[in-house]
Amino acid sequence: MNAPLPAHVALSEPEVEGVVLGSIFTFPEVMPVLGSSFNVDWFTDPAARAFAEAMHDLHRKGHRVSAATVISAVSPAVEVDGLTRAQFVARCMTLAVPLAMLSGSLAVLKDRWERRILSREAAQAAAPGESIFDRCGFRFGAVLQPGAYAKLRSMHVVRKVEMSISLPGARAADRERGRSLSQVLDAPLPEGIEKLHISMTSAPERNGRLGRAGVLGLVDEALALGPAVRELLVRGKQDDDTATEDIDLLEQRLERNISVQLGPGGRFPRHERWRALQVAMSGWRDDGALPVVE
Amino acid sequence: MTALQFERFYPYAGAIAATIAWWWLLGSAFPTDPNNLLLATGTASAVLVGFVATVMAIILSITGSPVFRTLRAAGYHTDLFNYQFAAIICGMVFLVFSMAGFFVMTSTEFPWLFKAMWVFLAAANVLVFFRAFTIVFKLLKRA
Repeated sequence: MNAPLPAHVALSEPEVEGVVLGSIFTFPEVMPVLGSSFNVDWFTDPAARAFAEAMHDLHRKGHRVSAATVISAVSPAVEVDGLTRAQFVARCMTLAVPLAMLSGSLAVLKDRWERRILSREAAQAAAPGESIFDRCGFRFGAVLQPGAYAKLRSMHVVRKVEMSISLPGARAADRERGRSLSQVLDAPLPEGIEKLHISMTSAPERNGRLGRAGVLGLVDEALALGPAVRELLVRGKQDDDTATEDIDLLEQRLERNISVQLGPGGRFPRHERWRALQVAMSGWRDDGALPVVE
Repeated sequence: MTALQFERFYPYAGAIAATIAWWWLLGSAFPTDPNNLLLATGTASAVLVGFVATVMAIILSITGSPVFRTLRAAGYHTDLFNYQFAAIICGMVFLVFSMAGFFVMTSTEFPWLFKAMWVFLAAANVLVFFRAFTIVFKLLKRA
């Protein structure tokens, strides 16, 4: 019954879908509470989706959503590999959680649904053969304007790379990432350091140059650090006969400001944040700013 | 497992490993005259608890230092206090446990569970105090 998942979907997804379905089977009174916010697109497992659609239809028509009514509403065609509809429901019900804890699983499903939409957008924008997915579905990172990449690509003689990275010491994000207190205190930084400046210059000879592949890799990694990078400058020229020029890669960073409405409780709703990402990505794709990564 | 999780739990995991090693590798060896051992552990626990209590006072005196302010802003001060608190509680439990030993001792023999608990608490104490002291000394070096 459970079809193989697409490669970019986390393996635990059917379990979370089972938790949500099982909880609704166990506590049918939750269906009116979910109401119109219940979305069958949250479900990727074919069987889970079939049951979710049956639930949605029954609820919309004003019927009570119970295990028996849903089983009878689902086509027997979903029964494969000897797993009957009743067995599937029973299996889901073993995963049921108390209603007070259901919001977490619902949030996971919504998150993954939003991510799938965004990753579909990214897939459309990706170059042929370019993989945009990592284990989380897709990756975040700063992207340069097309002109900056064109300049970098044409710069065959790189003489100097300079970057400044802010080092504010311990941050709350370090703790969330699991950096230990001992590691924080071991940080070999003299007190008061806020910024690390790195400068790499080629040998002073006429044909001195930095390794181009290394520089491009360094630029990609530096850009992925996001706002921590305060300065990123590459100096070079197209060939030995052209003039030297500087490229300020931070000025060339692709960015877009999008307003996100503040939700109840003074927080930015999850859906609004995903929508903002989607709007940004769609805008860049329509402008032809993507893809630009080599 | 993150480094922070390791730092939080290694004393207890280490104590469990030490107890298992004591049981399997050392054949659950225990002194034949545990009277002196109980007296010594009680005294040592009391000294260590007193030492940590003093360290807490020292930490409170440096709460205005830049390094402590940074730790507080990042939320690490709760870990620091939790480690100190764990050291004090472990020391006190070990102290009470050692005193209780005089009541459960029959002639010169202890129940096996008491011996295993004693080894676990002793190892946990060593590791919990080691964690507390190393972190405090690192903090004092930076303060």
